Amino acid sequence: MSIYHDEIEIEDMEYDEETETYYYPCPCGDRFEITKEDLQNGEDVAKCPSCSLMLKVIYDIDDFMEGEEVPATPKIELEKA
Amino acid sequence: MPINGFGAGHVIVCLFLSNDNKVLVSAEWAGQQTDKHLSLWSWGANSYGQLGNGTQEDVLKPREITPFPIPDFPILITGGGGHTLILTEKHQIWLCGSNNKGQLGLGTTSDVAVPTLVAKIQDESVVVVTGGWDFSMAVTATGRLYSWGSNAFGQLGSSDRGKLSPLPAFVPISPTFHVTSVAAGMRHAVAITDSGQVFTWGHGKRGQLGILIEGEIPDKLHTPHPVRLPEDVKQILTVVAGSYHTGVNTGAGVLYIWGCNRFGQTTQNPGSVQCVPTPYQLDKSYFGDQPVAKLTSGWTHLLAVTKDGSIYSWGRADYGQLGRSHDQSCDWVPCKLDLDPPVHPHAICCGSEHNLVISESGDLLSWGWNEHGICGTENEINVHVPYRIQLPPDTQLKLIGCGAGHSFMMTDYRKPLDYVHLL
Repeated sequence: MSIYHDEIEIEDMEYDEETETYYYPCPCGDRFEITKEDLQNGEDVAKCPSCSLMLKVIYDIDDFMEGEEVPATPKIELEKA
Repeated sequence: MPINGFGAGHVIVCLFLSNDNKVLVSAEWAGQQTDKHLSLWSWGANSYGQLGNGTQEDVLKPREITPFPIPDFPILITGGGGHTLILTEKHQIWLCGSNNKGQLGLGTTSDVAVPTLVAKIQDESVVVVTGGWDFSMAVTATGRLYSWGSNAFGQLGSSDRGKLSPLPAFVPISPTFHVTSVAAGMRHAVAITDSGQVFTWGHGKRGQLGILIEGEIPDKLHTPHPVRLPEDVKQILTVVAGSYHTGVNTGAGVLYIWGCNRFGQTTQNPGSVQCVPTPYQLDKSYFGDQPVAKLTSGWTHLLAVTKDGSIYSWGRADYGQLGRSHDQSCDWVPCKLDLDPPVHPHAICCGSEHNLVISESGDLLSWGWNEHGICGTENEINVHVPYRIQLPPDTQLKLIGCGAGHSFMMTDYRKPLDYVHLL
């Protein structure tokens, strides 16, 4: 069994601009949390302040690199054979 | 849904505080004198005051809230993520716990650790309440639906409510629909009408809305949309909502479930099916060809009680959620709990990862995830087979209710006649 309670994509977490933190519901009623700074440092484990459960956050670190323009994903158009 | 001893209307009630701070109730009803000595108990996670006892400390086994916190009789207790909703016999709602998104409906966003009356719908008789992760909903006797709390995923069912709405407001489905019940999932909701219609709204990314828009699964829907069920479904008895799945029990005792299937919530093998975007009919043979009488759901597991009183469980299993021996992280095949003596539950409810049952003989059983003492065992070891919680002597269990990680019960103490003279 995985040590993580769940694996969640960053876009499914709720971001609070005031605390610069991403949140996701924990089954205990509190919230898993991980800061934007943690993500920039490559951290991918969101923790619940009230219990032992942990969440693995799926994200692309390039989206969180400061001072760098993130290029838009190029549109790939498939050619018809 | 009156509890034993109380009926709707014709009730003359007096409340007295006895010397041990319990509420002593005398209810004269239909010419019969009944003495009640009610106690409300709570246990489990209490990070936001959801246990309603005025503190924010976890409680590892049932602890009585003294004095009795409500001047009315609870008839339904349920919870959201970190908040608790108590519906009373006067059809009013009392809430406590987490309030960061206004889910207590008090017009504020501060947590409250004691049950507090929602003023806004005082003039309406509320008959059903439900708690989502950080939002709440109520149905009135006139079939009107109200919602409040977070609207980040459209879960309030109205597009004009902003990101959150700390006061209850009417959800317009259609003037012709009379809503009879509602269930709130983590970020979505489902309502049923007296004409057998099912409506869903809110977060939809994992198929939990049961609706395809132009052939695609909608990310979210801000207003109620009808779910298409087979034409022979004329009546819906129950709706349930998990974290990313939704289910209904029809008048014929047939189950339909849709949404996320990562843990086999829809009874299909998650190895081959991860998402079920439209209603899927469960095979009756899983339940011994018995009609299902009760359906309830945790975040990723479900329980069904068949007409013959057997409990079946399926879904996520790693914290003991299924109440039966199973060595995998989930079981997509509904199986009967092997209980001796058989339980024939009077009441059954699920938190996020735990479960409570009132057995036919009045016992309280719990199982599942037990951090914070959610199962009431006085320790935090997960409970893989139903555990009988010791009740105080001479008490009768009246009500149970669960939030995500917390539990409630209400008991009636049958005190001998020596209390009568206090009246």
